[in-house]
Amino acid sequence: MELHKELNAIVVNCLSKEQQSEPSLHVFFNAINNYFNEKDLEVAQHVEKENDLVKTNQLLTTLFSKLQAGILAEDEDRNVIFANQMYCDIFSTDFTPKEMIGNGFSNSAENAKDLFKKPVTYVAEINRLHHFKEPKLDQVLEMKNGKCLERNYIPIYINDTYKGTLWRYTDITEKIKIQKELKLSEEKYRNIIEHATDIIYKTNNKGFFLFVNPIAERITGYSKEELYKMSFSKLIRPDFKLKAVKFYLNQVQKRIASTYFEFPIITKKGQEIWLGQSVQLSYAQVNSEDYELTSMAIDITKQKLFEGLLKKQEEKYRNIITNMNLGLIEVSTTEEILHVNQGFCAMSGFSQEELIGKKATDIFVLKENLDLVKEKKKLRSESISDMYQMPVKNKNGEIRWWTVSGAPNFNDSGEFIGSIGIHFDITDQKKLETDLEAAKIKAELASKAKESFLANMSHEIRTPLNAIIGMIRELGKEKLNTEQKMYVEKSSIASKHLLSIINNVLDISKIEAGELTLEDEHFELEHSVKNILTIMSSRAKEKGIYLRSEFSEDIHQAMIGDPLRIEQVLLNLVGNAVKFTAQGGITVKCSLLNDTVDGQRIQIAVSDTGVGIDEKYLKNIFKKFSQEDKSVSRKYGGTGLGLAITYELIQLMGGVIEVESEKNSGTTFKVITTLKKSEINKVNDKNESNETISLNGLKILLVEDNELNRLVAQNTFKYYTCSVDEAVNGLEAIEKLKLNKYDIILMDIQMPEMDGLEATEKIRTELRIDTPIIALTANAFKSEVEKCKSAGMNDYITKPFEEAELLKLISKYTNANFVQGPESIDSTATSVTLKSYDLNKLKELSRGDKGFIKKMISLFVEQAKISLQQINSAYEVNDLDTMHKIAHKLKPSIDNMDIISLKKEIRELEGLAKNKIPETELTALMQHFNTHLSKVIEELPLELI
Amino acid sequence: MKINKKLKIFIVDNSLFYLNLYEQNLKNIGHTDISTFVNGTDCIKALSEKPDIVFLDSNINNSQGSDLLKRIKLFNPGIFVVMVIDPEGIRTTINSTNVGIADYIIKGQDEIEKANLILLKLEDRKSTYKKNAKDLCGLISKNRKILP
Repeated sequence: MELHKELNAIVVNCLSKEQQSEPSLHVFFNAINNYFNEKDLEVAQHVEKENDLVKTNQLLTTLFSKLQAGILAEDEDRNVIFANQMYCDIFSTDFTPKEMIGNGFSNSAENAKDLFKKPVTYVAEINRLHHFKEPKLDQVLEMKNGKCLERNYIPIYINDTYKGTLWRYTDITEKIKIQKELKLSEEKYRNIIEHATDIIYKTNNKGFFLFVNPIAERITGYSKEELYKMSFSKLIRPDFKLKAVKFYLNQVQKRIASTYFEFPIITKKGQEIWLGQSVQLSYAQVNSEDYELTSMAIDITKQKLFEGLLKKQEEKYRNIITNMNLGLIEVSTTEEILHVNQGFCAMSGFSQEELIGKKATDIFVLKENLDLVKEKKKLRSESISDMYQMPVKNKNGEIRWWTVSGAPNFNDSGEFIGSIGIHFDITDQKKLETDLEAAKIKAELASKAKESFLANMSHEIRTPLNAIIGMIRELGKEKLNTEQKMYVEKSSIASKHLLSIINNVLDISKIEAGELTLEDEHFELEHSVKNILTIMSSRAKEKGIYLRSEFSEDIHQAMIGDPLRIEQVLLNLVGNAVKFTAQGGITVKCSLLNDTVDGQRIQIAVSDTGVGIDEKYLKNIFKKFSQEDKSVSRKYGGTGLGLAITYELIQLMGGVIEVESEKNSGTTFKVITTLKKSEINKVNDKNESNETISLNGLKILLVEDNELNRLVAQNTFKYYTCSVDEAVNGLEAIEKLKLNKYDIILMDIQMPEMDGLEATEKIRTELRIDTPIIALTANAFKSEVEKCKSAGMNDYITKPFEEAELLKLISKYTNANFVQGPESIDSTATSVTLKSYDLNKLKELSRGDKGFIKKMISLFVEQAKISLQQINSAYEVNDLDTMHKIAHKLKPSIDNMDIISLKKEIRELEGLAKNKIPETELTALMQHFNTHLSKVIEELPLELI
Repeated sequence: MKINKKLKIFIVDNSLFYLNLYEQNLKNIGHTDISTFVNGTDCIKALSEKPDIVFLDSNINNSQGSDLLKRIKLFNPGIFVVMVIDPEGIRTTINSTNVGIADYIIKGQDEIEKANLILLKLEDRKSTYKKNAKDLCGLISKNRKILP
């Protein structure tokens, strides 16, 4: 019974292990062996216990037969003493387990070998096992039917005597399959891990690496072997280590299954890399308290870099927006304020809280600007941005001017969601602007007042002066005795001096007003210098001082410049020199400084041996109304304007003036300027032109209210065979013009009843008379000249005028009407077959394009032919209206072809509809028109050849 | 020519002589893109070429009941229309058509100088407009970038 119990216990114990692991069967048999070894004697002695043995045998048999493995037990002669059903099934024998018992099994290997894939090996192995009789466990056999068997060979020894063998065959096909699959999937995962682009690693709960994938080696730069020896915290950037360690300590302590953390590491090469790491917490082993950390980390250095940049950028712009002096405001489509910056708050005086959510228009916009804002809002909804200025009210109710730059605002999907405005407070600028505007208007008014004052004054003074000078001139032409002549001369000099002073004042004011411009004339510099010396020579002689000139031979003979102004400068300098020199004399020295192809830089030095100028005064010498001291003006006279004008004139010429002086030993003024070279044949000699002027047979209308001036003018014309009609004001002039034809009109500007400008306008527009009109003005201000020209005057002359100048002007305008052009002057006398047209205008216009001229000629001929036909047929039926229309259309062509002989006629024809003329005149007009136009039509095509 | 003149110019006048004269004058002051029309219909047909400015003879316009001006303005109100007017008909023409004309020129009275002035003004206006538009775009795009 005891044995039975013990065995039972062993079996139960074994069985419980059997379920867990196969190899324990071996333990089980060992246990049995041991038991038998120990109990052998007892068994022999206690026969009565045989029953128990039988029971044990039965128990074992049942146990074996139920085992999920093929069991075969043999005795030492290889006779089967036990087989179970499983065994029979595996080896596909036809025997039942019971029939197997007792069978000799020596040949069984041969019989069964064909069931296996490697039959020869199978047999050999069985024989080998039998030979060595040593336990051999877990041999794997592959069968032809695809199954796999695990074979255990257990020899049974009792008391060191071989008693038989236990074979155990287990079908492990499934197990192998699962193992294979497991291996495959393991490989798959290992591949994934090894080829992953992310770092994958495992650490224990102390942070030491247990596993790393290749990418971890690559990124960190450490090899696997190195890594396995270190803790992952060693990689972390030192300043970040504490933070990271704390973080993961927290994860482990609080058992957080999964975390994400970003931190920088330092690679072996010292490079900094940012990792984004997910960590899974898991138990190291079953029933273990230790944790393992499985980590996956990505290189996020680039993202971090961008993130950093982005953050910096954003911070920068946020700073800009917050701190800029521009007010930024964002409003919705309903004008509701969504966002304002500090700048806007500062500008408006409101706080952010006060503004957000309110309607911008309600708070800021003034009533009168509501429409403007509405308009701007409409623009925004049409995606138009613009900038405008607007007065608004701030929190204190003050009016502030803002420049608003508005733009539409869109959301990410492109929808219009409101507008953004950038505001800039320009109140101060605006105030400056208005102040400036006011100041400017004031200044302009003042300048205008000054100009008109000067203009009026100069008129008021010059008109009588004109008369005085004229009268004296006339008086000088009378037969006088020597004394009288002297008086006349003195008066003449005095009046001219007065005139020069007035002219100086006028010059200065003109210069100040920027009115003075220089002419570009061809002249001889030497001639100008000589001229001045001649003028001053008498005065020098009087004072007993010499006056010399030295003129460098290198200086080009003909120059381009304003001789009048150069002479004015020289006159001022030489005049001053003469004035302030009592002994010695004056030298004018012209020398060449620089010579180029186009021009020459010339220095004119005027040196005297006079009183000299004090050094202190030298710097003020060119200032207006300044003389060295007041006694000077008393002693020497003068206005103190001469040098100021000289200085300004030289500035205008682009030159410089220098002065060197020593008290009581003399002064030298040096004028340095550049003049362009010219050719000597281009220089007009004034004296010559004077002689050629002839006013023979001219009819002149003189319009002038001042009787004296009329007298002066009349006297001037007395010596010429011309007739002069007088009118005392504009009205009278117009009356005269209605009755008579004149060749030229001389028109005063300021007159009672109707002034010159108005009269000219009437003459041009109402009377349609294009007789040349020359203005006689008292002042030469540009504004005045322009007024004259725009009124329709041809030219102007300032009073008091030089006779020659007036005559020149008159001849210029009257001769122009007699001759065709400069080139045809010669032919006028001889040729009668003068061309009835002039293509010069067209030629000038064509700029050398002959095709254009040809085209214009043929177009004209074509048009003229048709017009001629039409106007004649209209004339036949006396259709004046049509005649007017045709004439009107043809008029510009006739003007452009410069057909002088038809210019007047075409206008008369054009005026037919309004101003009817007698039949006879019309007939004559048509005849003239027909013959002349036909002639042109015939002649013109010749030009085409 | 210093300035590169890029204006597209139309001239409408029923006199070929006049048209040629005008065209040459405008060429002389540096304009190259000039089209001329002897009647209004052709001009209307060509409006799609986007002229900047049309010099329109008032006679042509009147004979078609100031239709032409209206039609040009209807097509594109941005086109400058300059009326070329006979000196006789100044007041009537200006009164009847003062809607929509940018300026007028009186025939035979410094017409080319006036035309040149108008063209210069237009050029100036075009370039300042362009510049303004560019400046503003720049400003706005800058502003958009810094918005929160």
